[in-house]
Amino acid sequence: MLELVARAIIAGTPLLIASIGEIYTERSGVLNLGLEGIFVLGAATSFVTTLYTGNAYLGLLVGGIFGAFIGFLHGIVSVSFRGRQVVSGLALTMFSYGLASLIGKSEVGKPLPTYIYVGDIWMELIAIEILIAVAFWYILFKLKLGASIRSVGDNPNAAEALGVDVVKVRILSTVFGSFMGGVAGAWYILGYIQVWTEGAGMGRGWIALAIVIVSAWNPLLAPVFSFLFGGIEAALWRFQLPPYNLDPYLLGALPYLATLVILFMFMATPIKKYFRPPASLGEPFYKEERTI
Amino acid sequence: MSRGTTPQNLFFNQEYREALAYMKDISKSFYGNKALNNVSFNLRKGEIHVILGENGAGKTTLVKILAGLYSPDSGEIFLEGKKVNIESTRDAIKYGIAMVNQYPQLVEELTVADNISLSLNNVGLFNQTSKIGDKIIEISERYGFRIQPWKEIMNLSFSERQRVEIIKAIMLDAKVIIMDEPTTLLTTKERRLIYQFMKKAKADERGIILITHKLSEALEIADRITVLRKGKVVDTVDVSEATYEKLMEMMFGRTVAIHEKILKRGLGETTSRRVLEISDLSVKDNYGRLAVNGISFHIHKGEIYGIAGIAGNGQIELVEALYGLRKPVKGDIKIMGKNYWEYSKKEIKRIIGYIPDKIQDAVVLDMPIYENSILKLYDTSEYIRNRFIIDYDRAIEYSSQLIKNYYIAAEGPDVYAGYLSGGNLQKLVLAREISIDPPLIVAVNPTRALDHFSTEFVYETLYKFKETGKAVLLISEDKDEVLRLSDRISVMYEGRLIEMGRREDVDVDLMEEYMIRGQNED
Amino acid sequence: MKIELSIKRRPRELPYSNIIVPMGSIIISLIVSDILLVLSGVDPMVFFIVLADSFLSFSSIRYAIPLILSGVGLAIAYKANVWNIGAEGQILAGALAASGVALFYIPPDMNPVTAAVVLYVIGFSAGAGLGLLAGILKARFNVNEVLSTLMLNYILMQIVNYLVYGPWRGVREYGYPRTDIFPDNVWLPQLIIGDMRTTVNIPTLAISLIIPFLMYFLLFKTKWGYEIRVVGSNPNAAEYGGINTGKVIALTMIISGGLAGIAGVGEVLGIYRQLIRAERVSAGFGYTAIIVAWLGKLNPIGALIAGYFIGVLVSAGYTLQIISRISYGAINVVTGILLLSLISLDFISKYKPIVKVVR
Repeated sequence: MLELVARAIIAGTPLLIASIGEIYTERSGVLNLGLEGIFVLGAATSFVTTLYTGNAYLGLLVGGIFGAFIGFLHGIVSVSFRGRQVVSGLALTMFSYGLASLIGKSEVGKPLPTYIYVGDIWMELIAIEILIAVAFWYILFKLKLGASIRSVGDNPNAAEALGVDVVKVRILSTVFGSFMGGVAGAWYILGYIQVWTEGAGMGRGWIALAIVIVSAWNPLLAPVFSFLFGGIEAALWRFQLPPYNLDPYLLGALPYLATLVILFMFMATPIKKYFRPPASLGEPFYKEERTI
Repeated sequence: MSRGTTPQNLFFNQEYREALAYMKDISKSFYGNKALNNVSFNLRKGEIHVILGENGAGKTTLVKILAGLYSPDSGEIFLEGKKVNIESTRDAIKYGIAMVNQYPQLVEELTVADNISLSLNNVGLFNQTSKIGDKIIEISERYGFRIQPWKEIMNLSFSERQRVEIIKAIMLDAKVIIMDEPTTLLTTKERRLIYQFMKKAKADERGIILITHKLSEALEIADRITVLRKGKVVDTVDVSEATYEKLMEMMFGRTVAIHEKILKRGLGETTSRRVLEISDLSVKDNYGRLAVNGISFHIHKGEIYGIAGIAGNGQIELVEALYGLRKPVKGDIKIMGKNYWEYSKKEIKRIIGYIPDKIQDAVVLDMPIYENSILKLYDTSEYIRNRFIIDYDRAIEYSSQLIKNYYIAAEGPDVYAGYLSGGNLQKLVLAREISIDPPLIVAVNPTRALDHFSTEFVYETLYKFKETGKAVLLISEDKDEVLRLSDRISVMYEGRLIEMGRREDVDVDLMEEYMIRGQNED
Repeated sequence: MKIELSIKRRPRELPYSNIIVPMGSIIISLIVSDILLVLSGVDPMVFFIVLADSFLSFSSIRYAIPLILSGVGLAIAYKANVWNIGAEGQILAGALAASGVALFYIPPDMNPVTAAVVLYVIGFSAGAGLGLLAGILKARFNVNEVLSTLMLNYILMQIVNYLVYGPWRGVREYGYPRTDIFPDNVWLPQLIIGDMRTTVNIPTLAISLIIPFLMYFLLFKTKWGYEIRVVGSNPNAAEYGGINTGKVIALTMIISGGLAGIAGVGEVLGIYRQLIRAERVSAGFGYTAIIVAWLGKLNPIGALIAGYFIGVLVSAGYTLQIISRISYGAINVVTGILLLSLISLDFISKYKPIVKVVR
């Protein structure tokens, strides 16, 4: 049982990193569906980096930088160019899939010289992660920085009138969230599965996006759901083995089914009232246009 | 007059350049419509400079350029003789320019302290926003504003929000303070407070720009008055040279009879047939709060019923419930003697012509005019052939008629609605709703974006409509509009309706009092 | 001195932007992709030679068929602002349902034409049903359709793999993860040129050529199309005009899901003639079809042309995989950039960048 909890924490860590980053992005009014691709790209680039440098922490950083780069593209296209956020995000996910494949292809399956081992310190890991979630909550809800981010996500026109640089804040929040997404993908390889195959990490970004919704865009709730999904993933492992011997494919559908059910449960019940998304999420900002 | 090079003009240029703020030859257009055409304007230290003009004259556009909310297409801005580039509100704040908006520009989900701290450069990104709380309380007490810094904006009333904007301007310690119609929606007492604030700021050698369309206010408080008409400066005059009549003429030109604006129409002949009957209606707003609180009223055939009130007192929720966009929590609505639920959703849309507050909600901007003109009729036998194919030829013909009859400035029916100006959109919606010929029209602020002539046209149209035995529910922030058009009047305040009676019985001062505080001040 | 960039909305969209924008983005994406390929060690000309070759190959048409069908459906959904990302799962649903019925329910003596009609209807219904599920979740409970359709993609994928590895695994397939070959009365006839058999199946090709025109008519001439476009452009105005938004969402999900389902039927009955691993049945067509819809500017006839072009690209991608060490997944680089440049150029056609030199 304890082993299962430890595995849940370890499997949930990348989801937590990615979802906290995306909470910041979405609080600024930008939906980044590129997160999925960023996660996969972060995984591939960190793997190759660590393979060549032997430094796992450098791997984390490089994963984050590639993520930030994709996030910057998303910011330019969807914030500056006012492209549809959904389309831009999907395009970047495809692009990142492709880039990950180009970068990692020739290194498939090579053993990592080093990785980040957290198996022994999972209890400390929980404490650290909860502290991090609290810190991000504090920044978002108590500091002027957080007020700036939330203002451009709720009412960008008023924010601009108050003197907030909406375009800058939105782009930087997107870059930050994407950096976290890249780090998350890197952690997924270096701290969790420790091997890279083509497509490693696919699907995790989507789940992180769902965690953002059910966490009500609040960093304090993100650990709860990240560990829940981590737990489901850890449990899958266990149920494939004797005495359960459940079918791996049917089990493989479970995280996605769980996501769907949890999303549904939140939206179809009165809880929904407390879970209002940022008022201008997904909407482009037009400074110069006159509102009649 | 600042463009020539004669010695005389050079002298003027000199004076302008040394002004606190000097805007030179500013032009600005939206979608190809000129909102400002070579406008020059200057503000001196220690003066209250009123910009006067009717709706659509360009007053707000001009000051928004100074405040960095719009950038001009051409023209220059000088502050104390130095040319500056104001590309954003950040620049404006940096140069000491602060604006108090007519419709407060604040973020609903954030607290008062959050909102104000966003404007203050001396609050760092990693400072807690609550650190300015004491200062807010102090200013609030000094001016009798009663604002709590930790309250979220969404829980503040309209006038409280306006006070937050004023506190913001005070905390910015600005040299130039722009006030966009700040007193329209305030009580006499609150208005005096604002005047006091302006006079004190003036004594501190600051410059104040006050936008208004109220002549009396201009004459009372201004040092100088600049009149704008149709995007151009008519003239700038000293208040000592200005008279009511002179300003009137400057605002509207000679072609308009001066007293027309105050002239009232005769009362309509009301019959006993009730078109609309509302009893004990309650409606919640988006935040789940009771926005309409048990109100009852009825409208007869051939009657315009006017509800005056400041935005945010439940008017929108009321009309949305009436039009079927929002579910009431309790109460009854009867239309033409039948219960509301006896009509289908579609039928309701056709028996009520609705001109909403946000006109963009009634049009599809990326569709051509002809597709917009059939928004409510696209699936009726008039426009459907072979059971499901839309007869677009007919729609084009119909919309050409609307364009002609309602003087909509568009090249033709295939122009996209998004390329029409606000006023023309308003006319398009009015045209569409009236030509469906419903028994009831609900119009919310129907002339807000319109200039004088279009306003008159809308009044005329609504009046004619009522004279054919139809009913109109007019909801407006503009008490003069309500007084001018309505047969019976009431005031809406915090979700309740205060009956004022037939128009000739209305005590105008009392009505204003009710609009602002829901009760008599004394 | 400082250079400042600002933007202003054009009074009119740039002329011919309907052609210039897609063409421009194709050119940009090809150039950028070629650079990336060169960086990965591929001869710069190889890409273009392969691409030119693919323009005249039947395999491009073979890939274009599912792309057109799904892409046209997605164009309808996106026109209503319904973000169906689930074509992948809906293709699988169609393939899965048609396979099941073909294997277990169609009598071997059934007339092939009847069988084909039955299976197309089954496939359409399965895809439409899956789409409708996400549609209802959105319309009734406001569950984000991007996430729900994505989740359904993964779920369907796992179900198909479970079946081909488990209960449906063919007895004559030597343990490979696939079902038995379908009885030959459900095979869709393939196009034969001279004595060369192509992988293009005639009935699905015919459907994919007719559907775009039908859908164009639906979208721009009928009252349902009007409703779809109003809901997509301004949901408030739709509500205002009395349009039932939930119904429109459901309708577009049924159409887009159903068309993807038909594409799935074409894949299993027209090409593989058995149900195989999910990754190979849908092969990412459902995601690539998103590009088809946008490249066609959400116009069904545009999607027909775009579908062919992307078919060429996919075919070229497979050829590249064979002649170089680049994996097929790399084709995503091209499609991703294509989509990005599409929406960026679209911006320039609507807004005018103004460069100001400030002293």
